[in-house]
Amino acid sequence: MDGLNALKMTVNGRNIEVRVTPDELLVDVLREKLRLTGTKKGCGEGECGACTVIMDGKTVNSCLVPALKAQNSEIITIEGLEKNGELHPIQEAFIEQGAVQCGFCTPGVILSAKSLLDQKPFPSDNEIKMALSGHLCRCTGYVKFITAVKTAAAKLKRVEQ
Amino acid sequence: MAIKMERRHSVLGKALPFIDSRQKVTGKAEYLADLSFPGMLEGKILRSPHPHARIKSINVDKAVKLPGVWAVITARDVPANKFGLSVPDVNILAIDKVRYVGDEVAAVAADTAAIAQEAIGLIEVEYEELPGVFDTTQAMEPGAPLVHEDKKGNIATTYHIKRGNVDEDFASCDFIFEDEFETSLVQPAYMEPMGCVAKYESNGRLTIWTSIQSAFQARSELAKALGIKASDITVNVPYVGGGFGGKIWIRNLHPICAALAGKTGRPVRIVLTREEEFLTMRPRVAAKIKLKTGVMKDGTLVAKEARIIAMNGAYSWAAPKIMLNMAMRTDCLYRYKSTQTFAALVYTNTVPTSGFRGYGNAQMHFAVESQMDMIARRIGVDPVVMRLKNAVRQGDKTLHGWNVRSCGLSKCIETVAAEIKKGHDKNYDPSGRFRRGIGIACMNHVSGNRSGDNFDGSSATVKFQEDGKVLVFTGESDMGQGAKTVMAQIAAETLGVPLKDVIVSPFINTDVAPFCLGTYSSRVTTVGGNAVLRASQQVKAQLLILAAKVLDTEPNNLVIRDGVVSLIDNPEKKLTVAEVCRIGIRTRESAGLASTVSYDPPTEGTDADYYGDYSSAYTYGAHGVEVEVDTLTGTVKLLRVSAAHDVGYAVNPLGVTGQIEGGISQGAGWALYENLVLKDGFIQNTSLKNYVIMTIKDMPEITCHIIETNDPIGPYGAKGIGEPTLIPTPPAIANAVEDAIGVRITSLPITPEKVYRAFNNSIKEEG
Repeated sequence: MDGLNALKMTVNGRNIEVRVTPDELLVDVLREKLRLTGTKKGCGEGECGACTVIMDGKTVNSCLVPALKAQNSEIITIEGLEKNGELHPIQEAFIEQGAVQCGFCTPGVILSAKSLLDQKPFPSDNEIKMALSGHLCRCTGYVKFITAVKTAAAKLKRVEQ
Repeated sequence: MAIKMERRHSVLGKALPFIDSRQKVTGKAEYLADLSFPGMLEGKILRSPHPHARIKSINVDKAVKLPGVWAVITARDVPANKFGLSVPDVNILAIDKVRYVGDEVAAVAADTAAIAQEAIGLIEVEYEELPGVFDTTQAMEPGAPLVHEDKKGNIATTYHIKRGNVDEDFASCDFIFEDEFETSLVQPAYMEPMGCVAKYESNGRLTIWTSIQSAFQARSELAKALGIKASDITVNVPYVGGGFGGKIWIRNLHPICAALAGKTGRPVRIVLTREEEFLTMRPRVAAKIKLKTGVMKDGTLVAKEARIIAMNGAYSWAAPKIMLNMAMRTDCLYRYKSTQTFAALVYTNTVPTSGFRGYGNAQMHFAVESQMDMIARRIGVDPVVMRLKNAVRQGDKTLHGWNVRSCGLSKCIETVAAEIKKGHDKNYDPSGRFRRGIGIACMNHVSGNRSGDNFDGSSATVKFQEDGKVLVFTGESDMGQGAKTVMAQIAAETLGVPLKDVIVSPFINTDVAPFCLGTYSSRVTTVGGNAVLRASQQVKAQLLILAAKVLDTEPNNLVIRDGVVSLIDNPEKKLTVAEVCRIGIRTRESAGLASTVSYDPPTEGTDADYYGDYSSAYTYGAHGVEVEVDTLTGTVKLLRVSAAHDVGYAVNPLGVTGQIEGGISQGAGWALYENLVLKDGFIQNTSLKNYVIMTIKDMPEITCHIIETNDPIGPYGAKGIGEPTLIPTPPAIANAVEDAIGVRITSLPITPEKVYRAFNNSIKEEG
């Protein structure tokens, strides 16, 4: 017995199988074993939101998720948003609106914005604030997050049409 | 040489997205903890559990035997050099004694972080606990325990700076007011924890990767700590996840990481946990400030005397320099006739304090700008009118010898005062539970800071490549504020090429980049920008010589626009920059088309009494705020902020407003929520759970005003904006609280408890 368990999941559309210990966290499996380092670790206790990923359609703090809880689940990390070299409209909007400074919180914020816009195509300011309130950003003062999410909403609408 | 403000810029002055944001939104940007090297080990540090204790013995036997452990080091295994800045007082690992909770005692390198942590738990240290000093009052008592045996009275450093004759001037004033203020311990709390990877190369040189604002200062401090030559060290800086002054200097973890790499022969990585960040990374120097100000009836400021006692913590680092800024800068905000400051920096058995956005100037502004409002109320002068009456102006030489070459202070004050008043409904529930008030505060700061007669410049290399693309190398860190973008814009504008054709080296490497001091003192746009400007001008001249030869004309008949070189008089006669480069590079032309410039600004520096014009450009700003106070709970809600900042010239307005909004968020957090709580030397809140920073829901409505004054030294007129944006927020909030409920809070943070008590006491007194 090596204490390792097989973990099967889909990450950014790819079937993954890795061997993990029961105490391993999803964030560490993504970062260290799968080398998906776009998922950041800022606090390790679910306070800063930098490790946010989308798991089965919902955002989670991957630093609080035991990796084995992700068994058979579908995970989207920031690396999964760009398709064939084309940025996702939310990524474009964050760039255009200057909502990116140091960039450490950015992947998590963008994934929460995606989860919000997947559910509510035209969120109000208040809904944007609620959806992003689990993310700490020390650089931007958050103001440009709101304009970026609104810009993204408009872009996504155009894409649909 | 002054560059005239030119409004027909093609790349400058435009709100452009940062050139490295694509890497960041895709998760591809690599920060320190994302780097991995073959054979890399993980390092962990054993820290003191006591605020003050003698180390009687350390036994590492069990830790060494744990499978997967490669090295365990204590003070015996590392050089005993004291390092630090003007007051070197720290060792790599504690010798004989620990001085604060978190002090580094031993370290382990192991195959995994988990093994390293387990090994840390197996190190046995026998301590003899010593009585400690946990605040500056205790530390200054006669006979108090000494933090460092050779620092008598626990004094790290003192300053006495006097200009004019304060005694005479106080005697001639209509009023003299004395008030006391106190600022709290707050953490930079950048989102990316500090970390380091160290590796010894086969040639014996040490390579360091670290998330730091100043690569070259890191190199020289590491050399000092390790007792090796700076030229034997390469410092690489990958993407930096925020710094705010907290990542200027190396910490003990850097030489510890190097020592572990040396002992194991493997690359070693140390990344701090958030708890270690709160325990050991440097909070803002906390200060107690007594302010005595003499004024005339009409509000004219005459004399100012400050007595500052500030908390150094267990080791000194940058705190002595921060004290100096605290002691001096606000004397140059207004036209005082005389000023005097007595300042003492005091050792305590607590976390060492250091720089955080504002570098001392922010603490003193809380006192000065709070008292300004208090005085205005007491003598019945409008606080806006009083500020305008006394504000420094362009052309002034201040008491400390600063030459104010550009100054938008009055414009900033007028702008925010008008705007905040306009939106404020004075009749809003004037006696109800929720009361609204407005307040303003202004500020001054620097863009670079020449210490004595030292270098205060920057260097840059700019070169064309054979396809016409431009490469810019700098040693100034981009910690997210947009330095790379500003450099690229300045190079593109100066060279006449499109921004997309400029590449700024994505990471810093001290072997490649020319010497730079680093990102602090809000200096990079001004000083670093000037280096890029000059290197670009030189390369442009080289390119024009070659183009003139090909086009059979003189260089001064040519112009470069949007990547095309053409004759001024005959635009049809032209070559693309790429064509010129192809003709010049990898051909018998052997044109260099490259230039490295080291630029030092034309400022004097300071004499032994700290007098002199020491910054490239002085910056000014003002914030107007509106708050709502819940008189039942004492909670203060920040509703609106109107911010105006004199940036000389906005190279990138999107970057400027980003700095302003971020600075307000940190300033408001400092004013209302953030506070490292110490109890007998132990920090009570070592987590983002209970160290509360602003979230998106706490943000006020913000309006940014960019005031341009075209500074004669700044590149294209530009001055710094990084630190200024946080400075006026806390006093503006304190002033608005008094406007709302008639009570004055003189210590930070302005907690519901303080507001509640002060408000209820004021009602009792009235009743």
